[in-house]
Amino acid sequence: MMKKLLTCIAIFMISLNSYAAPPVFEIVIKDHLFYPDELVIPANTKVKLLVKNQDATPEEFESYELNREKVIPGNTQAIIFIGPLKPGVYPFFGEFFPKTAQGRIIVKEDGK
Amino acid sequence: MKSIRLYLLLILVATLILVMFVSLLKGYQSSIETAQDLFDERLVNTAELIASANVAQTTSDSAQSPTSDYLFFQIWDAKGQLLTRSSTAPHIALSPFKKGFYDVNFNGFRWHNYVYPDPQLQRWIIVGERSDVRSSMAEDIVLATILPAFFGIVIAAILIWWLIGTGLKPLKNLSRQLASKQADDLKPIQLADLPIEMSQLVKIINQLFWRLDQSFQREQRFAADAAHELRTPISALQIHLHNLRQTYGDDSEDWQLMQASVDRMGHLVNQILMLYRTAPEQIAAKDESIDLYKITSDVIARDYQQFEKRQQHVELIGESAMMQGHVFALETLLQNLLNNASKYAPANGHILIQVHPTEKGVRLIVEDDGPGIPADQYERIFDRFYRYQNENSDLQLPGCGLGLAIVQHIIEMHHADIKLTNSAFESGLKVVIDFPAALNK
Amino acid sequence: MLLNSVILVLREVLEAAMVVSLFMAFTTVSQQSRRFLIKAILLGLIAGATYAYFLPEVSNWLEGVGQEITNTAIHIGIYCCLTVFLWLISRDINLPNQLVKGMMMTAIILAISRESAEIMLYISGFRSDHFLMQSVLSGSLIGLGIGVSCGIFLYHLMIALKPAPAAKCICILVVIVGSSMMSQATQFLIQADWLASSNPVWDSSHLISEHSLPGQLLYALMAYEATPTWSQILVYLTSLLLMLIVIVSGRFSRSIQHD
Repeated sequence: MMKKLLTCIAIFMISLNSYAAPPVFEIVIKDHLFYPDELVIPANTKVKLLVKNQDATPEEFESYELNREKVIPGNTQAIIFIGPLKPGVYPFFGEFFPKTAQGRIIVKEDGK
Repeated sequence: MKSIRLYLLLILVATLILVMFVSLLKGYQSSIETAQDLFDERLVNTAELIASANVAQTTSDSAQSPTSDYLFFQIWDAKGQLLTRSSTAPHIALSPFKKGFYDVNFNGFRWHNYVYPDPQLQRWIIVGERSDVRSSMAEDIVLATILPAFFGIVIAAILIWWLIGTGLKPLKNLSRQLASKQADDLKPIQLADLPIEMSQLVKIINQLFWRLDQSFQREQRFAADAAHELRTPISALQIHLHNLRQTYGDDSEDWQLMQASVDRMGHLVNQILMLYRTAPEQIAAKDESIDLYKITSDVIARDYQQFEKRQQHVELIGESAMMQGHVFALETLLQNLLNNASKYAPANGHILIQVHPTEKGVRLIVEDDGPGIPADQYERIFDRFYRYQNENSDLQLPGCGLGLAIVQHIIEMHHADIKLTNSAFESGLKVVIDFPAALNK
Repeated sequence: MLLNSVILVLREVLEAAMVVSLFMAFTTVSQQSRRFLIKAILLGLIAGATYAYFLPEVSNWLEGVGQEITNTAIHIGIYCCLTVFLWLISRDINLPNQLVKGMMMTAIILAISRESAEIMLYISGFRSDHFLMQSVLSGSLIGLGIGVSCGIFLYHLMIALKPAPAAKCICILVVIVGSSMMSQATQFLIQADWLASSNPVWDSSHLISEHSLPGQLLYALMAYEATPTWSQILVYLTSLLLMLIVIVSGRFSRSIQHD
């Protein structure tokens, strides 16, 4: 019974994921800077951020406006899901190097 | 163990750090903002200065220098043509052509830019500073004002530690005075400059001491007086009994029993007197240098009659053993131990006494071949008036149960150690006493 | 760099210091030995170092959301320990009790492992840079000092109370901390896309910004979010309610036993 339920959930989640297939946006961390430092994403859509940390030092992707925080060890990449979001500007920063690692996600309605 | 000093230090320093930190953080935030405003103003001034100093209106590809590597500028005409730039700046416009401040990444750094529209020559002037340099400069300025506060906390912690120590000194003095008090010292405590918080405590302690002193004195006086007062009638009783036996010439068993009872009563009264004379409160040991071996052989010689009466073999082994002690007390101790040994050893029994100097002092061992005492009784036999009765023997031995209590007193007085075990004979008790060489602790 | 380190370390230490000082106060109020708490702190640090060391691998689990799921598990674990702890102490059990001790130890180990892992990763990033390392280390030490001061303060505040109100206070704070753990767990699940995201229910950032000092303190105390989602609010309130029910039912069963 339990096993059946689990497989059901698993199938449901897989189907959900394949159905959603969110668009992927890439952000690179280099020299404690985000490239690009301004990322435009569509509104009301779930988006998959692929954050590649090319520095040797770890960094923590953090945004109070997006309610996200994730540690990205040096020379690795991380996946962060954001959205669906309303149009607006959502700043984010690297908590380990907040003076330079700064960026913004700009959410725009499609076609504008 | 809870330390008042540590508690006060922790709670005070924690409070200090918290209050200081919150105010410092607030100050830090506004100082950084002010510094950033200042830097922004400087950037605007720089842009205006460049606008008035450089009037180029045609493109010149050669980069202008010198600028420090954390500053750049670009001059663009209205059509979007790069007129001139600093050597640190690229060929592309780093910010949109709209008046205001912008943040961009280039050249591996983050830059804070200002875009200035030159109203005279219809040009765009973009000036930028490296953000990390800006913030570290701002932080240096702010830190220079904040850092002393952190050292201040450390200094405050040391001062608080020292001040608490001073504040608690009366308490420390009191506990030191109490700790250094001798067992027999019941004099009231004298403390200069007593704080009000402690005066009640000291008053109560002194009252307690006074009452304890009074009751000690009463007890001692009563016991000693009673024993002393009893001695005279008992001596009289002994003389009268002797006279009566002479007069009647009767030597029946009743007379003998009566004689023994009166003798025992005399012994008891003597022992009670001895017990109080040897109490630690009563005599402080004088540091006389004595030879325990010599004293032991003297005591054996003096009491030889009692061993001879029962044909017991007494053997003393050892050599001269010097130590500090109280001669009278040590003689009493030996008398009591030998008396016990002789009492419990059978007729024709053996008593072995050894006196040896050891590393730390002198060891005295007294062994007999009597019935011995079970180990669970070792603690109790030092109690006053307690006498161990072997259930298997109906042997009724004379004695009042004070001997070992007296021994205990003398042991305490000399800071010695006493141990009871089984003797080397088939049965019997072995008493081992270790005296320290010197009396001062 | 210095002040940045202070803030970062303080944010992490504050949360762990809350849990530790609450348990410290509890053991003092209920007159138990406190040695096992120190053992738990040390074990937590070791667990944190291990977590930090394996973080690159952990991040790659489950299609790149291993970190979020691990953090979720840690937060839910702490919540469970706190809930069982509340249930045990609201019933009439004899202290010291091995299970209560175990719950306290596990909660501390989990809390410290998560918070210390981040600090260790942060500091290890400056290994090669001796100049920055100095200011980062001193900043971290200051942050640690302030966080520990907060803990000491909370502890002495608790034990200054009489035992009965102190126990009540500890329970309330445990409930608040526990629910905030679940709120954070929800946050991580949304981030990992295991829970559907939705628009924020409200935006209180103009009242208390998460960037501000009160916002940060509220975050440490009860996972304050300026823009929470429905699922977070729901989970927060449910966990809060569950803990309260556990306390009430524990007390109820105690009163039945007494009758």
